[in-house]
This record gives sequence, C-alpha cells and structure tokens, in this order.
Amino acid sequence: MKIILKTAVAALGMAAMATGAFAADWTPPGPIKLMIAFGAGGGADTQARLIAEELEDRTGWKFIPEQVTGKGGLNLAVALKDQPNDGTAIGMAVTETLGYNMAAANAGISPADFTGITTTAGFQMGIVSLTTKGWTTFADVVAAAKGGEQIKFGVMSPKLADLAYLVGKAQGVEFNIVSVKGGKAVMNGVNAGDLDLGFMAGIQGKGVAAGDLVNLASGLSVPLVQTPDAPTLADLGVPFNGDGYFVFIGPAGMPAEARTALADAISSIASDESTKAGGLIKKAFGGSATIKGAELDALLADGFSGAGELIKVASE
Amino acid sequence: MYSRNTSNFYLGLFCLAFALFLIFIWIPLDTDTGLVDKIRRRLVIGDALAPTIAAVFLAIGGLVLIIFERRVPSQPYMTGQNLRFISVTSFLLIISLILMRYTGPLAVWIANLSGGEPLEYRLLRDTPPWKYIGYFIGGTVMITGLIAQVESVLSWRTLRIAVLAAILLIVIYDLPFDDLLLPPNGDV
Repeated sequence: MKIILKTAVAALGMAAMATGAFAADWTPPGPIKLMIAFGAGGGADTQARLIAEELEDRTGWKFIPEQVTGKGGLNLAVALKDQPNDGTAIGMAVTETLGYNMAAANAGISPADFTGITTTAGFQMGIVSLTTKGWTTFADVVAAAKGGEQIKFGVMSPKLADLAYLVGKAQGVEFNIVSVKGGKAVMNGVNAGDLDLGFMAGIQGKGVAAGDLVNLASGLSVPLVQTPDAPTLADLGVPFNGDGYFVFIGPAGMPAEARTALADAISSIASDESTKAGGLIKKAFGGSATIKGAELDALLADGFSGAGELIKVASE
Repeated sequence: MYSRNTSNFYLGLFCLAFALFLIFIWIPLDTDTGLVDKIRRRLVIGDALAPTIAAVFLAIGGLVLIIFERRVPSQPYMTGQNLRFISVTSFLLIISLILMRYTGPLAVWIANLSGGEPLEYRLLRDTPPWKYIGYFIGGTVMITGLIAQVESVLSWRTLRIAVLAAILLIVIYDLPFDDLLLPPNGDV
C-alpha cells in the first residue's frame, strides 16, 4: 500500500512538474487582446492595465488592452466567447459576470463557454455611508428608515440591488435602491450626498481609514478586514452575500499550458505587493486572492447555478 | 402656392412606415423587458421604452410631413445627379473599407504562398509592416476617390495628397500610442 501511495505521489509530482515546465515554456503566438469589463480609469481598469504592464516587462508578451464594458460584464463575455482560444484573447471581469449576471440575462451562455484563468483579488464589499450622516451601525440606518426617512441606497449591479432589497425586507424597511455605473459612482454619490449609503467593493478603504466613511455592514459572507465588527448580511437576516472576485477568463477550450502559464504569471503579479498592481490590490482590496484551476472552475459553476435562488427570492 | 412636388409626402410615408416597423417588429424582437418592467416589486423603465419613444417621435415627424408639409413649396427633390452622387460615394466607401479590412490578410496569404512557416494576419496585427497595409491602401483609395469625385477628375496630384494624408494619419494615430491599433486590426 505504501509503495502504491509513494508511486502515486511521485507520479503526481512528476505530472505537476511537467505541467509547470510546459507552462513556463508557453509563449503566446501573437499579441494578447486583453478585454476589460470596467470603465477606463477606474480601480478595476487600473488593476488590469497594471497587471498587463508588469506582464509585458516580466515576460516580453505584448498586451493590447481594450475596454468592453456594459451589462455587468456580459458584453465582454459575449465578445470573448468566440475569440480564438489559444491564449491570445483574454478578459478581466468579476465572478458575478459569470454567475448572477449570466444567469439573470438568460442569454444562452454559461461559464462552460469560458476558461477560468485566475482570480486576482476578492471584494471588500461593504455597505458604506458618510461619517457625517451620524450612523455608526446598520441599526441606525434601519432606525432612520423606520422614522420615515427616505434612504437612497446606491448599488452598482443587479445582484447588489437584490441584496439591498433583501436587507431592507429582512429589516422591515424599504430602501430607494439607486443603480449607478460602477463602485466609483456609488462613492461619488455618497460623498456628494446624492446617495445616503451604498455598496462599495473596496474603494471605500481610504475614506474609512481617514474617518470620512464608515462601513456599516459587510456585504460578504465574512466580516470586512477593515471593519471586522460590522455585521455581515447573514447577521442582518439575508441568506445571500456579495462575495466576489476579479477574474481573468478566456474562451472555452484554452490549452492547459496557456491557461497555466497565464494563471501563474497573473497571480504571481497580483500577489507581489512590490509591483504596482500588487500594491494597488493590497491597498484597495486588502491583498490578493488567487484561485485557479479546478477550484476556479467550481467557483464559477457554483456562482452560475446558485444565482437562480437569489433571483427568485428577490422577485418575491 | 402649392407645390406639386411629392417628396415630403413620400419621405413622411417612409418615416411613418419605418417607425411602425420599429415599434411593432424590431423593438419587441430585440428587447427582453417591454416598456416597463417589474423588479423587486417596483416598476422600472424597460429596455424597450427609450427606443419606442424615439420611434414615436419619428412617426410624429412623418405625420407632420404627410399632413402639414405635404404641399408646401420648396421641397427637396431627387434628381439623377443626387442619386449618382450618393451611389458613387457609397460605392467608394464600401470598396475602401473592404480594402482596409482584407488587403492585410491578403498580403499574408500571398506571403504564405512562398512557403516557410505559415503566417496568420491576426497574430501580426501589431507588427509592422503588416499592420499598416490595410489602413494605408484602404485609406488612400478612400481619400483619392472622394477628392476625385468632388473635383470630377482623377489626377496624380490627388493620389499624392491621399498617400500623404494616409501616412500622416498613421503617424498621428499609431506611432505615439503603444496600445492603439489602427483599423481594421482591433476587429480581426
């Protein structure tokens, strides 16, 4: 038994090494089209471009970034799906694109049409307001809403709108849910007083540290790194969460060596805080979170199949 | 004084028919949510609302032409010269864009005839001189053709201007920007 086990471990090790060596040898046959699902100049776009820049320096590969925004990343997904799958066309979106957004759109595409390459960072999704509002906990928001105040709740995706609706429902209040384009627009709205509070996926870090903004709740399944005492959505009676990651994807059927080489190269930059990209990820999202391979496949498939329940509950 | 010209009437009729086509066929087939949609117990604006409003304005414009502007004097009218101008311009633009799109891949295909490692245009779309071929030839033909049409004469001078203009555009739009691709290279 021991011998069999040893042989198996050795074989696995050899296979891993062989894949590693194979991946290290991979070079794209031409320039890589990097589709970015986020508006130019925002934090996510900057992250993608900094990663591409660092990859060019490290590997000599050539990247051509291109904005393919709109419909929560679905425009990117549709454009990327039919691109060549030899590693010369990849995209950066969020896991929500391949989960809730794809399921809700019912557009005949699924995560099976894509190759997950790697995630780079998880969201630090908080429900955030200005400190000057005087709210220190989410209970204060609920009390204000119950006192008759119209609460304008900013969101940047349909999934988050569902979550905002369900938080209100669970707490016995009704928010005026305002959909805007991107986390930056939520923050601008909150800062300008156009919104009373809103979901922010990490962009609030600096403002919270400076005491201008306050994380009233975590939009995740776990507490926020910066404000661990803020209640999670589960604590507020919502059995769903806004967990999500920035993710690089390619068209389905990408060769294993291309997938591995890209995943390793991207994740090593995201994890390296001495790079501009890694530094930004650390600052804005509390550090890298790189999920690759079979684990990423499972994450994307679960996100898609699990989205139906949230859509159903939120439409009740 | 009434005009016997029927341009406004037919233009109005076209606008009205197109608006009805938009409202009852195109928009319903192309949108999922209708004029309004109910999400999270609230009525929200549906995907179809904005284009439907645009189509309604188009229909109103058509009706104004048919009802009030039908017999006004000084209506535009179509002549053989108008049609020829539109046809030649359209032809020039289409041919130029086809050249812009396909002369690069054609050059690669010809290069592959000489044997060796087969090349693929998509992978060369950021590599000189391949990346300039389509833009240069298509752009030169477009500029030459449009100038020649307006001047009603094709001359070497026109061709020289077009070549210089195409090169100038390449210098302005391609050389300073590392990540910018000239047409058609972003779409190949």
